[in-house]
Amino acid sequence: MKTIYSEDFQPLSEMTLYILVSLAPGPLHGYAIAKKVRVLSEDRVILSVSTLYTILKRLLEDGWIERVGEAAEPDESGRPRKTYALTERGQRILAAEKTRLRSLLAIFQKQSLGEEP
Amino acid sequence: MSLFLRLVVGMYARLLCLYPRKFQEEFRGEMQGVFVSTIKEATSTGTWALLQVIFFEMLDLPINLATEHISQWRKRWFMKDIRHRIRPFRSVVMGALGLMIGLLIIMWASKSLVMPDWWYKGGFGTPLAILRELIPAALTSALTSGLLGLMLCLSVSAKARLALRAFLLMTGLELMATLIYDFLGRFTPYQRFFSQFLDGNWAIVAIVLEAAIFGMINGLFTGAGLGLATGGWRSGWRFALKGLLAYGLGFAFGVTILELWIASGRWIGITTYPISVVSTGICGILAGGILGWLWGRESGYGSMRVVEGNPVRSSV
Repeated sequence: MKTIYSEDFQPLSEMTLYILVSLAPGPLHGYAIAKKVRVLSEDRVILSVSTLYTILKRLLEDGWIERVGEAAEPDESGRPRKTYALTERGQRILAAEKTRLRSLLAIFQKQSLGEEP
Repeated sequence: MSLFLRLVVGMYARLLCLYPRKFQEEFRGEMQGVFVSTIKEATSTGTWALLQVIFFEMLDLPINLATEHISQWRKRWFMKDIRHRIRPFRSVVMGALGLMIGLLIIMWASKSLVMPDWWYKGGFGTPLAILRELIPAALTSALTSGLLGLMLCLSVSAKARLALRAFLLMTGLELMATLIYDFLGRFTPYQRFFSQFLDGNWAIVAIVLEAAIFGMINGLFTGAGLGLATGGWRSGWRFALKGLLAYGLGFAFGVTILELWIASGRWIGITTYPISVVSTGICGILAGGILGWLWGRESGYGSMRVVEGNPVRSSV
């Protein structure tokens, strides 16, 4: 099997990145993820339900996130809400993306200070 | 919930039924729940916000529906044809065997009359004479590529559908490669360029280089056929380059061995034919083995997840 490095997935799409970031502190259910993404992005990224679950499905298949159980409160129709959490692989990929973004930011900062040509 | 909202939720639930069955089983209930929560929250903000949310959701749903169907279709088309986990080693062995057998058949065909007698009877002028000569050679060469495809598919216990697709595409594309190479030889200074070196100090280099170019042209088309059959367009492009590399290396090494063998002088007393057979076999083992390894390693499926849900690559 080919070895895949975290960096191979970079750069992540904005929506994927926000979903991973929203799950970083701990497990969340689908609705909470959508709300948190909206808050984190200051209303810039709004996920429709279908987009959210298209991405969640892909992340589940890729092993970046996993279902970890059900939330305490059920949804509007009384169904238990499934919660999602980052897997170890997901955490590694998110960490690699953070490093990449930090280094980019450092370049921008240097340029704005006139340290870079 | 008002009648309007119940209608909207009901319609959304109906639309969710358009998702592929597997997706529905896994996410439909959850999606419906999240949609209801989103609608309820928007209602509390105001009518305008509610309409915006409904519009946004309804606009996005068909796009994601289509995406999901395409994704399922791709999986059905490419992945269900494989019955078990890919084993690169098996692909190496089967690829090496397939190409070796195929090339040896070409060698046999080049010394034998593979077509019926009437085929070789002249009287049709130069163009048809060329065709009479070319078609048996091209066919055996193309079928060799098809045989390689069949063997590689056999190495992963692929279903007949995939094997047939690989066979047809690889045979067809290899036929093109053979015709192109023949065109180069007949109508361009290509052969003349190499033949001027055959008597000098650079003879071995010229022979090996010519073999490598021959291999690369054939590998380019064979690899494209393999990638196209088993992984779609993107895979086709990638495997065209991998085929070029595999065949280029395989043929260059195989012919180098032959030339070194001849240069060593140990073959005196043996006709060149058995040596050529061995050398051709080595070319086949190397080129087929390398291509099989590259294919088995990446399972020929490019960006697709193949092995027991374990991702090879993600397109996220």
